[in-house]
Amino acid sequence: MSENVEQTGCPSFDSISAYLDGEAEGQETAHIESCAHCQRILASLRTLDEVVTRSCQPPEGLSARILAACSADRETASPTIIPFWGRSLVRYAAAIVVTLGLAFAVKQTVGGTSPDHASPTPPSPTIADVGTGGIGPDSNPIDPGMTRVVSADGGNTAPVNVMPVAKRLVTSQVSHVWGGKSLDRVEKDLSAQLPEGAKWGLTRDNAGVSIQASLTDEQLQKLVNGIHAQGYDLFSPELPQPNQEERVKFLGGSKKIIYQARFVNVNDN
Amino acid sequence: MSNALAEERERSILEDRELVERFKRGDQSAFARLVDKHSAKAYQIAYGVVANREDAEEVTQDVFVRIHRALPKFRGDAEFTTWMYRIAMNLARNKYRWNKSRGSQRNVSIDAPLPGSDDDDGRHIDLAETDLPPDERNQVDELEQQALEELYKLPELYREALVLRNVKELSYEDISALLGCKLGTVKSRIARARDELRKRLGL
Repeated sequence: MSENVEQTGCPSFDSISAYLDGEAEGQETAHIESCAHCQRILASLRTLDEVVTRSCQPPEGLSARILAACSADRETASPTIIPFWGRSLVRYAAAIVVTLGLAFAVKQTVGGTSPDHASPTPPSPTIADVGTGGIGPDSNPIDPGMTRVVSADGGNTAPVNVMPVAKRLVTSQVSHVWGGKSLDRVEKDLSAQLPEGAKWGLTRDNAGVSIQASLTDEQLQKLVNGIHAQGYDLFSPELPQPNQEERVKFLGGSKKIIYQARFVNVNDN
Repeated sequence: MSNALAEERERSILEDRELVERFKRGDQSAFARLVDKHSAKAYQIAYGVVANREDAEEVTQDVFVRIHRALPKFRGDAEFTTWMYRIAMNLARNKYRWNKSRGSQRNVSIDAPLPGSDDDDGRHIDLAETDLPPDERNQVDELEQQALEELYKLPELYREALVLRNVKELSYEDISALLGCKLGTVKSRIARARDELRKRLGL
């Protein structure tokens, strides 16, 4: 049962809590250390802190998955990168080319009858626009303009202003919520999509159908694609997403992921 | 903070600076050491905000991917951990808000009814009940499981403050800077969270 904190002469609960964190005032510290009532509250707070800390422990293998994700991100971001300082030069070069091109075009229009321009040279292809390289709608709001990826052909094709899609590992446990117009066929639909020999279970209640399965990341991606193809809509943002294999860094091998899916009825009738 | 804790913290800061410098010189193992050393803290921060294991792991991966990209340009004006905590907090809040705007079921109370349903029709999504895989669930004792469930139910402001406090090394001052509120507010939020949890868990 919780200890009653209301006791005459004792510091407030806030102060006892602050004492636990080494943030109490000197005068209060002396009282708390010598008061049996405060000590009992303190003991319950220590137990609480231990329980909360234990319950928030990270999953096993987290560091390895982070390093793999960083490695995958580095591979994805490998195309030619124009560094920040280089972009200014490219912009200046582009501006000069465009200005010269415009000046040439104006001169052609105004002085077109001049014998000097009897056989005008067709305008040469220009870089025209290499993008601002700044904070546009497609730039990353957190790392604005830190890297800019262009095609490896040196920019002779259409301007490119694309941030690489960073691949991510699928987490060790994935929960998805799916919507379907009818849930009668969920079991049959899933049986057709799940790989042979996969461990899975299904429960049905008044509100929908829940499944749990143990799959590799590649099997899970195929399953998600398959469920989507059967006409169900995925409401959850977590990877893997239907037909978006390019966003996932597949580990391969036999490491299993716990997949939990909840199917709910979205029939308007 | 005791002298021993202050010394430990100072040693840790010096080690971080050295690791960052080694990474800038091309030593990838230094980055691996930073991940080993700090990923649990980033996870706990993320977890405190998003209150969901999968999302917390996704955010944690994202934190270190961004750090890995940006570390070569890290000037060291702030300590590595301060920088890392801030990225973790921002990404976790983004995730939380995104989930919320998408109506994700994962950030609502475990007792929340389905959207559009009546409160008393009994149509509940019990995702929290299945939040842990069965084998892992068995390993978590009943009190921890209960604490976790009650933690989910705390108001966001209290939950964030308490979880940040339980990330060792985070002082009230650190938390105040991260949450953008006064020291007194941090003290009060942590106390309220503890008091509420203590009552709910019968401690």
